Amino acid sequence: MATVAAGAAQVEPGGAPGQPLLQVRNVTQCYGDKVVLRNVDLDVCAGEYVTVLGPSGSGKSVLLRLIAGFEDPTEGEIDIGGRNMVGVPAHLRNVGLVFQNFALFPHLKVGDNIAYGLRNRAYNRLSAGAADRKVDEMLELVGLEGLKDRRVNQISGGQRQRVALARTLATDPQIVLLDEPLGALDANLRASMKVELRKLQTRLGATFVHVTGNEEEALAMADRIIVLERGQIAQFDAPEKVFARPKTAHVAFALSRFNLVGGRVEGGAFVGDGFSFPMPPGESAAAGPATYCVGYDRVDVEEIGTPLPEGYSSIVCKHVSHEYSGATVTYLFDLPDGQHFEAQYHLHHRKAKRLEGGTDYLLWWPANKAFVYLEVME
Amino acid sequence: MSKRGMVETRAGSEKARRRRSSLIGRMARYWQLVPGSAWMILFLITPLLMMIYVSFWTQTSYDIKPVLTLDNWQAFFTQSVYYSALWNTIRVWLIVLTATFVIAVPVAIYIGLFVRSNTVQTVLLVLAIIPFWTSFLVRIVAWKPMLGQHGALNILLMKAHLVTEPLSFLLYTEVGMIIGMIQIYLVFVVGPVTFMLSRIDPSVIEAARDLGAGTGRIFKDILLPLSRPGLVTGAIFVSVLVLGEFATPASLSGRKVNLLGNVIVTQVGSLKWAFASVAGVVLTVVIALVIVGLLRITDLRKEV
Repeated sequence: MATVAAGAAQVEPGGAPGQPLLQVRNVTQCYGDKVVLRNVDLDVCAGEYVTVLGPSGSGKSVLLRLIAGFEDPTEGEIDIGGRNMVGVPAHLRNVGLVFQNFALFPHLKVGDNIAYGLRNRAYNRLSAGAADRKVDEMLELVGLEGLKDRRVNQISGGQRQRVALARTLATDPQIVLLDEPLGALDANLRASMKVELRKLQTRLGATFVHVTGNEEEALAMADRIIVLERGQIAQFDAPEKVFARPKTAHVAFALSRFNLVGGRVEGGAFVGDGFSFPMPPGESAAAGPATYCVGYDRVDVEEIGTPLPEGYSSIVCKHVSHEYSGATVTYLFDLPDGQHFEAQYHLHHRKAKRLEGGTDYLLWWPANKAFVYLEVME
Repeated sequence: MSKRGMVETRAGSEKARRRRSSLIGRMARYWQLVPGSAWMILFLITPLLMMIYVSFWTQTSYDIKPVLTLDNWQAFFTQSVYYSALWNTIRVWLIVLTATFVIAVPVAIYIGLFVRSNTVQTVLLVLAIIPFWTSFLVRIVAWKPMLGQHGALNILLMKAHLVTEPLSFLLYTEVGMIIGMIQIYLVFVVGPVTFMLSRIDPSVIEAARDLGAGTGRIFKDILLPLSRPGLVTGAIFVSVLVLGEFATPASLSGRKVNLLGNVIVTQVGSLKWAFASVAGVVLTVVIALVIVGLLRITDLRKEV
């Protein structure tokens, strides 16, 4: 399913040339009757930054735990560097996991936390002096010089995050797994860590698999993005491609940038309760329940009576309110059947509108930028 | 009176009041110490000093006189009845402490780390303390029908054909006494160690494994230091209780094993207060040394 993308040329030591560094083959994971992952197949190349996006309960953390080796899959195979890792315990896999809650050793100083893997791992243990030099190097890498002898409860949340990262990177893992690494940080810190993580990954040429529930993070950081939906991979592609053409209605939903309108395909048009759009060009016209999808920022708001340009679809609906966020403003509307519809204006490109609440407006968008999925969202 | 004057007077009285209240406040700090100090002086310091004082009194077979002498102390360290009681106490303490740890730590690891459901954890801990629903003496006496020649243990061993005739060394011996003590004091280690282990974030253990550490390393570098306060608390409980024991040896060893506690009981029973005081002082010193030693391993106040 996944195609080998950019980055395939550089191969880490340990991976056979031309082969992806990480291969997850047809992995299914069940807990009792509950299937958490179903037939997951994916390749990650050396040096790639892959994000895994999904709502909670989509199985994204389980996928990380399987790769890290804390659990073995019910079915399927996980290859790292061309070697089947099923049955290999976590401490022999040379895969680094950065925990969501950082999981620092509370009784050790910052420096000893970072040195833990170097001094205690089962293979290639470093001497005290070599470990110490490596710790200094890592502290400099993550910008924590001078904090070596602090206790981990004497540093801030952002610093703890860096210690966790340094502790993992110190052991030179083949793959760095990050479990919602920015989830515990406040908004400002999250933004700066986002830039820094990406910089660090590029500088080290390391392979990162980053799990997140935040679509902005997933889109911004990834070379390729995996969208998980109820334990299955819904889409695995470059962020631009996922954004340009979400493969399923759930993918579009996960990106939080699309209007999703429920209705039916009937007689070559998409029909709802009190409205109807022509089918976008190139979409399947098979009759049945369906979801119509158009990006928030594709929609224009006009006064009723404005002539509709060629190749545009439109609807008349009632303005409810708007949300201003500095760079953008989002206008909220109610469709005739009560479903919601949004139009987002990037204020650098379009002028803000002055709209009356409770008044009907004409919304239009290019018909060829809309999609119809033959599925309904619950 | 002018408005201004009123304000000034009010301000003045306010100042005086504050000065007075600050004096009371300063005094109150010391007043708060009174109940605790009084209690300690009355019920700890005075009896201790009294005991030390009495240990130097002159003891005859029928009488005790407040004439200071070193005879009692000399007798304690030269007569084997007394000094062997000291060695017995230390030996039994070490055996029971080691055995409770060997048994209790794996139990605590199981309950604290492997049982992840809080309800099951609580149920298991409650099961461990059910014997405490009866009195201490009943728990000891209950071992007699277990350990005797025709006791439950021997019946089981015979039925299982592990032995051909009943084992006689189980009751009224040091073995029986030690079995009894281990059972009684086990839970004092299981409890605190389980508590500390169950507070360790499981992802911390996973992080150590993820960084390449094997089970032995994780035990030594993560679990041991993080549960140290529980281990020390358990060790203090067991040590204090075992060092001061007299009932279990009296009942289960058939009076064959004499601990310092038994010496004190016997001497008090025959009204030899001075000898009893010597044994009491020695026992207090031993317990104090053990506690100080154990607290050197970890500063409990800093940990929690």
